[in-house]
Amino acid sequence: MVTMENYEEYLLLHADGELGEAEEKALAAFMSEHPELRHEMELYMATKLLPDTRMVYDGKEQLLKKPGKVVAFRNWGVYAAAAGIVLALVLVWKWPVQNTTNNIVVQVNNNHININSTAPKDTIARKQETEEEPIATTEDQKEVRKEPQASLQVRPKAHHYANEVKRNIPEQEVLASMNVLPMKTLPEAAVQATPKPIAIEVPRVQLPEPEAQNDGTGALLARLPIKQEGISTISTAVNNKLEKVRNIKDNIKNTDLSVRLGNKELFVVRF
Amino acid sequence: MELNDYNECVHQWADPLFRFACKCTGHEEDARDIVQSSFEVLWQKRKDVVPEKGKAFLFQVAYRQSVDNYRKKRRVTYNEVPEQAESIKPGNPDLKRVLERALAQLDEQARALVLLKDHEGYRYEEIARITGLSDSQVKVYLHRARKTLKEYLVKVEHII
Repeated sequence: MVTMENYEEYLLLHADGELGEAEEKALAAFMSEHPELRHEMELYMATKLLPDTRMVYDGKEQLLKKPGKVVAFRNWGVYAAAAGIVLALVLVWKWPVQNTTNNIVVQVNNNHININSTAPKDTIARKQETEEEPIATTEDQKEVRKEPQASLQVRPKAHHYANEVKRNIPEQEVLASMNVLPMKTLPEAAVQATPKPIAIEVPRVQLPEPEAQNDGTGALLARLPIKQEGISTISTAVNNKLEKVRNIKDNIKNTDLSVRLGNKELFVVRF
Repeated sequence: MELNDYNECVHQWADPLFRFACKCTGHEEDARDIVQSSFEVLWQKRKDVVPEKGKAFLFQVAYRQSVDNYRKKRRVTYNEVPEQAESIKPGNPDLKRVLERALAQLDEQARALVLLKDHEGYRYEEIARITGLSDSQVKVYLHRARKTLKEYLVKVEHII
């Protein structure tokens, strides 16, 4: 019931639009009985704010979101397999090359094992090595054909001696301590018609694929923990590795290696 | 709320939200920032907001940013928004300007309550949900604000 004590609250509720239908009727009846309060009611109604519709936000386009594009990645298995094969090829191709920066490079032919001691130098020195090595290899191969007996030659490279000279260590002393024949430069060694191999006997090894095993065996031996321990250690290590190679070769005979992707067999390698 | 619902909210509520923020803060640039961040929050929370509650969510975020943050900053200045609309009643062309000045006399919270009530037409309980106040608090604060506005109008009797 609207009274003189609570009419102001009714006027506020009326201005806020919070009165029910019955309360609106009660307030209307009260106001008709008290017209002196009509001005006050108009003041409260005048406090109601109306929105200014001319004020607009002009950046709606920046707020809008566009549907994202869904890129279908079909045949992902094929792409994954291709990526895996490429990665494997890169690893196989790069791994032995990285290991050639070690101090020992071993080249294996049918009846001849040639070990070159190298030291990592700058890029120019490496280029010179790559240019010199094929020449040395062909000379060695000729020597192998001349000598039926298998032999082991240790040939320090020219830059190795240059380092030794820089340290003011006599070349002859170093070579004598290593029990290695002195070879000043690699071209000089190639010119020598009858180089004197070091008397380290290794058993005759029959390796069926010389070119394929050149890199592989070199990489295996390059990982050996042998640096400057001496020729006897190298000989022992080489023998051990050759024995392992023989065992691996025997083990993989008559075996098949199949590569599968899911249920699909990609290829089979027969040994 | 999906993408289309969100974009519909932008079309429908960006302008009211901007007016609300503009009146609350008294600064157009601040109001633009509030609108932008409010819609950004809505987009991030769209999975938790049903389309029917999009407007209330937006005003809730805008209220918190415009009232709570600005209250902490203790902003006392209120830049009166330039008058653009025509007068509310014929014969009282200055009423709107007087009301703008009267609105500037209120604190940020009371101003926000009046705007939510008059501009958006929310009921007390809806305003309570948006502002985090109780229903009775909303009613008391709104009535107090309305009395302040009325008293300001009485002082400028020549307008009424």
